[in-house]
Formats: sequence, C-alpha cells, structure tokens
Amino acid sequence: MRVLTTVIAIAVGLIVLIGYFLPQAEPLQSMLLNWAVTIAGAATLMGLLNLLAVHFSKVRRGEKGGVYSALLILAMLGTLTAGIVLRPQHVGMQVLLNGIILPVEGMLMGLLTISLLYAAMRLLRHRTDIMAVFFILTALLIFLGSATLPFGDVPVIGTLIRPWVSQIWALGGARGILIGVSLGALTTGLRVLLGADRPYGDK
Amino acid sequence: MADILQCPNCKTENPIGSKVCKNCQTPLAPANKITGGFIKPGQTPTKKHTADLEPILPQWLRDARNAARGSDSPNSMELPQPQEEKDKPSAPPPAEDLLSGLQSSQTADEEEEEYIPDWLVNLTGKSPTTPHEASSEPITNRRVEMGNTADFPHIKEEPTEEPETPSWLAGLQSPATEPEKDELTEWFRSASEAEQPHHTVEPKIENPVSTPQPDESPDWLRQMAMDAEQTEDAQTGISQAESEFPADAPDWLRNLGSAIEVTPSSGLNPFNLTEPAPAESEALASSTETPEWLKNESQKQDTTPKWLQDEGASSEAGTPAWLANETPVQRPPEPDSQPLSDDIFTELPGWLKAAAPESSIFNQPAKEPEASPEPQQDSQDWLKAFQLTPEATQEPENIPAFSTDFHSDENVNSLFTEMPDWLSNAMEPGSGISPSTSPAEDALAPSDLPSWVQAMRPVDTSKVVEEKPNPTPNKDLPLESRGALAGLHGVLPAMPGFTPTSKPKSYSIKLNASKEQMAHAEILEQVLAAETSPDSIETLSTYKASRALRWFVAFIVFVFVAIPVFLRTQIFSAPVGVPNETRDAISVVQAIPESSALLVAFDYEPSRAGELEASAAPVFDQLLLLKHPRLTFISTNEIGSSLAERFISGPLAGHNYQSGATYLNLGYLSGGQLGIRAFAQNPANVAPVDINSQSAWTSAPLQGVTALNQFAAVILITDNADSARAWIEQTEITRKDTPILVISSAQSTPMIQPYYASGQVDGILSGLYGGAIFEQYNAGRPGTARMYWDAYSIGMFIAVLLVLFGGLWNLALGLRDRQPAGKRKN
Repeated sequence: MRVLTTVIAIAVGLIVLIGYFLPQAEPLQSMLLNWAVTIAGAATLMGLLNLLAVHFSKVRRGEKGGVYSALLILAMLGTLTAGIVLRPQHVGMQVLLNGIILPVEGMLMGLLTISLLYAAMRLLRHRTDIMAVFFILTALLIFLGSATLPFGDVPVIGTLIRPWVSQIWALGGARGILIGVSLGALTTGLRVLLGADRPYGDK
Repeated sequence: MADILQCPNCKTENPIGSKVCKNCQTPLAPANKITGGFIKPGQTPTKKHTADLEPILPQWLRDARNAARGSDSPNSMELPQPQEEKDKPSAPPPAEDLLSGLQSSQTADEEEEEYIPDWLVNLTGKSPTTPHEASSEPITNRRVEMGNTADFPHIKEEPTEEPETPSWLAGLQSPATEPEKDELTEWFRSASEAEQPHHTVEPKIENPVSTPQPDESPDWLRQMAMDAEQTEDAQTGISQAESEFPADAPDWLRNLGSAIEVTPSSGLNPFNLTEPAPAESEALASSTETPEWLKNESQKQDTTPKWLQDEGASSEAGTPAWLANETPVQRPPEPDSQPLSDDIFTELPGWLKAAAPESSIFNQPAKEPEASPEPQQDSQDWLKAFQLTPEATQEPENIPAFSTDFHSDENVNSLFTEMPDWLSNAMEPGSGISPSTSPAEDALAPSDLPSWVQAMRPVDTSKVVEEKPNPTPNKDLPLESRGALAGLHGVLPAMPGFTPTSKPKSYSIKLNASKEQMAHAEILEQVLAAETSPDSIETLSTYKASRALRWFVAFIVFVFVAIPVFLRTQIFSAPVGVPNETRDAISVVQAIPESSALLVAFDYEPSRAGELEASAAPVFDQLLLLKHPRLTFISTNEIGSSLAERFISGPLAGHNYQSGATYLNLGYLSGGQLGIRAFAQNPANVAPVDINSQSAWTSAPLQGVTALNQFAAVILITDNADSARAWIEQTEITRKDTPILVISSAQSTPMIQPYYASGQVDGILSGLYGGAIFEQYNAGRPGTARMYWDAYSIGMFIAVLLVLFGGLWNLALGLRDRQPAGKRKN
C-alpha cells in the first residue's frame, strides 16, 4: 500500500509538472487538479467534522471547557446551516458576519497591536543589543514615515528614509525570503516527486 | 532321648558324648556345669568351676590334659586320645563361642581316645582321670585368659598333686581342695616365683607348645625340653630362657623357648609364638615320639587345660578369674609391664605373669622387667622358653589397642580415669589436660573431671599457646593451636611454605604523601572540578508583565485613535508622496476598460477588513463609478465570499451592484494553489456555479468569459503574502497579459513588492496609506481612508512615542539591572 501511494503521488506530481511544460498534458493536468480541488474540499469538510467530533467528545466527557465546546458546536452548526440555507449574501449572514465575526477578529487584531506595542517598549530591557536597537529604530522610522503631519509627510523620514527602507531594505529582504521559499518549495516538490518525502501519511 | 544330643544350630541329633555336631560342627554343650552360655558384653562373668569349663577347652588342650592324666597309666606315652564324654550333661550351647572354631570334629573313637595328660590334669587341679573320666568333663570351648588371682588359689596349696608329675610341674599343681582350679596354675605359680616377669608371651591356648609335659611326659617331651636347654645355652642373651628349662623339661619346650628368643623382634602375640614352631617341630621331629595332641592339634577338640580354661571363672578357688573371662585378650607386650604376681602364682614364670592382667590377678606390685633374665627354678625353667627377651618386649609401639588388663576390675576403672595412650597421644600437649599416663592407681579427686573428659573439653588456645606442649610422640610436628584440631600434632601437612593462618596484616589505607604532593593533588582536584562544574549562565530575571502599562498603552491608543475617528477630524494631511507601486496601480485601474469583467479575489481575513476595505474602496469606487466593470468575486478563503458580499454591499453599496447581474460571487475555491491553478486553467470547470448555485459562466457578469485571460484585470485583495504569491504564480501563465492589481495590507506589502519589482504584479496599493493616496486621485471618494487617516497618524505618533520613550526607559532599566550582575561577575 505504501508503494502504491508513493507511485500515485509521484505520477500525479510528474504529470502536473509536465503539464506546465507540455500543452498536451494540460487536460490531464487539469483533470488531476480538479481532483485535487475536490479532494481538498472534501478534506475541508472532514476537518469540519473532526472539529465537531472533538468538541462533541469534549462536551460528552464533561471536560474542562466543555461549555465552550458546546457553544462552538452550536455556532458552527448554526452558521453552517445558515450559510447553506441563507447563503452568504443574506442579511442574516451579513449580520452574523458584521456582528460577530468581524468584531471578534477585529478585537483580536487590536489586542495584537497593543501587545506588539508593549513588547516593543520592553524590548530593550530584555535585549540590549544592536539588533534590538535597529529593530526599534526601524519600527520608529516606519511609524513616522507612514504617518503624516498636519502639514504633510514627515520630512525626510516620510519622504526619503521610509521609502528607502521599504523599497530597498525591506524589498531586498523580502525578495531573499521569497527566493528561499521558492527554493524550498522546489526542493520539497522534487523530494516528493522522487519519493524521498512522503507527506501523504507514510512515516 | 538321654543318649542323644541335639545340635542347637541345625537340630541334628548327635550321640551323647559328641563334642561337635557331625553336621555343622557346632560344639555341643552338654548339660553340665557349663550353663548360661558365654558372657555377653556388659555382663559380669559368673564364676564357674574350671572343671566345668573343660568342654570348651580346645581340643589340643584337652588332649594335653588327657595325656597328662593318662601319664599315670602305663600307657602314659600314648598320646591322649580323644575321650568321649558320655556323662557330660547336655548344656546349652554358649552364646558366644569365639573358640568354637578351634574345635575340631571328632569321631566317636577319637573322643573315646581323648586323653588328658596328667600334667594337664595336675595343672587343672584335678586328679588324673581315665580318659573316660576326662571325657566326662564338659567339652566346651573356653576363652583362655588369665584369670584372677583367686582363680588359682589352689595352686600353691597343692604343689604336688601327682607324684608322677615332674618337679617343674609339681609346683604348679593346684591344691586338691580346689579341684576346679587348673592344674597348670600351680606350676605357673611355682615357675613365677623363681623368675622375673618379663614378658609378654601370650599364653594362648592356640599354642600347643606352651603346654608343658609332666614328668610322666613321654620321653619325647623330655627330650624337647633338654634340647631347648641346649639351644638356649648356645645362644647369647638368651641364657635366661635356657636356664629356665629344667632338666626334665621337654625338649620341645626348650626349643620353643629358644625359637622365641631368637626372634626378639617378634610381636607379642600368640602368633609369634608360632614362630618357634619350626624349632619346635625340629624338636618334635627329633623326638622319637610326637604327641598326637601336637599333631592333631587342629583336629582335636579343645583340650585346654583347666588353667587355661576360662568361662565362669568365679571367685571360687578352683577357677582363676583370669581364665574365667571369655574374651580373649591379646595383651600387648608392655615394656613397663608389671610383673605378674599372684598369691597363687608366685612361682609362675614371668612371661605368664606378664600375660596375666595387671594387678587383677596378681596383687604383687609390678616389677620392672629385668634386662637379663634370672635363673629360674628347675620346675619353671622350661617355661622361660616362652619368655621373651626384654628387647623383644620393648616394642610397645605396635601394640594393639586392647590390653590384657582390659577385663580386670581395676583396669576397667582405669578406663574412666586414665586416658589410654593412644588417646593421650592425640591430646594437645599444652592443654593442661594432658591425659594421664599414670596407672589406674591415681586417685581421682571427686571434684576433678576424668582426664578423658577433660581431654574432650574445648581447648583453650590461648592457654595452649602459653603452655608447653607435653611430650608426645609427634612433638616434632607442628601443633595445631586453634580450631577443632587444637592440640593435635601433625594434623596439617608440613608443606613447604605452609604457615599457620594468622590474622592478616592490616595495611593502612592512608596514602603516605608529602605536603608538596598533597598540594599538587589539591590543585589537580580543583582543575578537574572546574572542568566538570558547569559555568553559570547569566539569566535575566523574569520580568513580570506590567498590567498597568498595558492598560495605559491600551487606553492611550484607544483614546487617541478613537477620538479622531468619532470626530472625523482631518488634522493630519493626507499622504503626499505617491509610491511607484501605487502610481502603477492607479494606472492599471484607469486602464481597465469599461464593462469589462474583472476578477476580484478576496483573500483576506475579517480582522483586516477595515484596513483593506479602506484601501480597496476608493479603487472599486472609481472602477464602478467610471468603468462599470462586471465583477466576479472568488476567494480561496472560506469567509472570502462573505467578505465580498460585505464589500459590495458596504462601501460600494451606492453603486447598486446586484449579484448575478453586475457581479458574481463564485464562492470558495478550495485547494489553495492547486485550486488557483485549476481555476486559472479552466475556471468554468473549477467554479461552474456561484454561491447561489446558479450557473456562473452563463450569467451576465461572466458573459463571454471562459478563461482567466479574458478578464480585464485580476484584482487581488489579500493580507497574506502567500496567497498573493500563489495567485501571482499560478495565474501568471494563463493570465498572460491580464494585469493583476494587488491591494494588500501594509504588513504583507514588503513581501509582494518583489513581484512588483519583477513585473509580475502591475500595481500595489499598500494598506491605508495607498488607499489614502488613491482617494486623492478619486476625488476623495468614498472618504473612508481619509476618515481613518488622522486616527492612523495619531496612532503612529503614539506608537512612536511609546516605543521611543518606553524603549528608552526600559533600556535604562535593563542597563541598571545588568550593572549589578556585571559587578558581581567582575
């Protein structure tokens, strides 16, 4: 069975890869990709059901936080039902979205902002090194460059330093990160295609 | 059945007078005085008359006795014939008859012819009887032993019982008043009076040559005595024995004595006495007549003379006590053997006395054996032939354990008071409990433990070490001083290199080292300890989270950010500088044709909806206002479709875009990159319906659009760089020239700018800053970005201030905290 899965994974990967280079393999590639989309959708449903089962078992065993699990289950099922029944553009769904989802997540984002700000304030107390100082200075520059004064951009910082930092330093760093990510993705793909890695269940 | 004797063993009927059973040769004990059987161990011997014990005498002795008795008759030369003992009452067979084997089967004729010589008869104290009379005597085996003194009281009293007996026997005759006494006792006594006890000859009845012949003895006997005298004269150092022989001593006696003396090293056992047998045999051969009782000794029944008869010897005068004992005792020759002395046997030769139990028979004190034998009386000289030289007697080393004084009363007591030599030799010499070699006459204090008991006590090794070892025969060998074998010599082999075990030497475990060495060792230990001990790591103290600071920061931010929003202030100016990616984005938007289909991907989280909607609203407002595009929404996020609906019905509500007419929501696209790739290759196949399950590709928004490249532009609204990367990379090939516009948050813009820099992205609107800029190009419409800008700017300045001052403050605190640790480290 392990060999079969490996063969399937490699074959599919090769076909998809070849489809990028050979137009004649595009229909097959499209078919396999459609299968992947369908399987991914099913996997999403499986994840949803697993989540329901976990929280349901938690509620059934009466574990700590079972109430929250029960609320989660109810919310999940309600939202699922409403979404299936009412559809996303329904007002109800919009109320649900505007009244619960967005505020909750917005609140979490706000807490994240405060936490980051607090952490930045206490950073130099824990780590008194040049990198921490650069980090703080960079953050300050960006902050200042992003904001404007009543009379315009912050001079020099907003017009020169911030574009220079973001366009040069950040861009370069980001590009490097992206290249690394791309190379990693390429390596991972090759390993999967060669059967070196078997992320599809084999230990 | 009076004339029949039944064998007690095989129940065979034998005629009366038979001495042994004709079937199994068991001696038949007639019913006579010999009753009660033999004495068993532990029993006190009951005195019996010697005459009653004659049946148990060996045949040869009986014959000798008969011969002695018959010497009175004209046919005294004849050898005693075995006599039949018809009158002997049947007696119960003795229980123990050690000498039963000596009895030989006799025929009736032989029994009739049994003849006890007169000299034997005289010795036994009986009058010489006819063979018939002799046969009437009980024929039983007896164990010949030296009896007690009382056994021979008659010997002295009846010196001459028979005138026919030679003078040397006359003295040995037992008194007539004690016919039960052995005839030999008198002459033994008489012989011993004149001589010194020296020996140790075992007057065993087995030795037929020890039976002397009376004067009426045949000539051959006399000749033997004479020959014995001659041989004794010829030998040096043996004159004693030779001179002891009377003139009338039979030659065989003389020869016997010489033979014994010739072999001084011979052991003192009766068997050695047989050594002279060759001399005796020569003497016998030289004699004209050989007594039959000598020839047929082994065949005849027990003819033990009465003096040799034991068994039932009692205190009666007729039976010597030493003969009354059953067990034959081989008395070992003792160098210091006390000379036998007896009231009765004062004339007995010394060798006979020595053979007798010490102090049991003869109360006379022990006399040391003389080195040179003294001349004996004539009548007892012949007995000296049986005496051994002192040299011969001085070999006690091989003496068997048992001694003739074993059965004496006093010696019995000595067993409990005296330690035998063999045991005393095994005793530890220095134990202080050395076995007493003193004779039994040592008085035993009532409170003292017997020596043998003391010898068995645990040995005190400490004392043993201190005390001198007693002289023992093995004193040369190492003495064991501890353990169970304490006191013994030679218990351990004298192996070379063997040393007695001792406490092992104790060696000090303390290392002898000089001070310098100890100092070096300490230094080494410190070095090793430093190597193994881990270096302490300076760890920062855990700072507790300042809740107040967090509340303060939150308050400040909330206040300063919320006030401008609620007040809709516009204090801070809009951003002036237009980044390039923003400018290009503006260009892309302005280049979108009218009523073109636009693909809008909503791949952001609801948490970023405020920023991104503020950033995207001006763009779509302008597009919808100026270009009236057909929008197609799609999302790789599960909530994207809802966000799209929120977006179209919120900031763009004024444009009255209707789903299915002017915009289409394709919903969720699963699969991530694969989904995007699939959608890019065949969008109608991947997303055939919209969120209302309506056919999407036949609807108005997607009319004439079957491929991705048929869209006028792809607008990606995302807050995730990976999603942007996926859309950009997966749709690049199929999108071909369709521009892609990325409206991203300020967080992910740096990660997307490389794609802009590489030309893969046509424009980027970065967060609220880009939206604010674009709003300036959109106549300030909708105005959401501008509304947030003051709050955004104040928030930025607050953040800068907090980070700056807070950082500086905490930096100072950190430096202050590290300063003591540095001082401690220094």
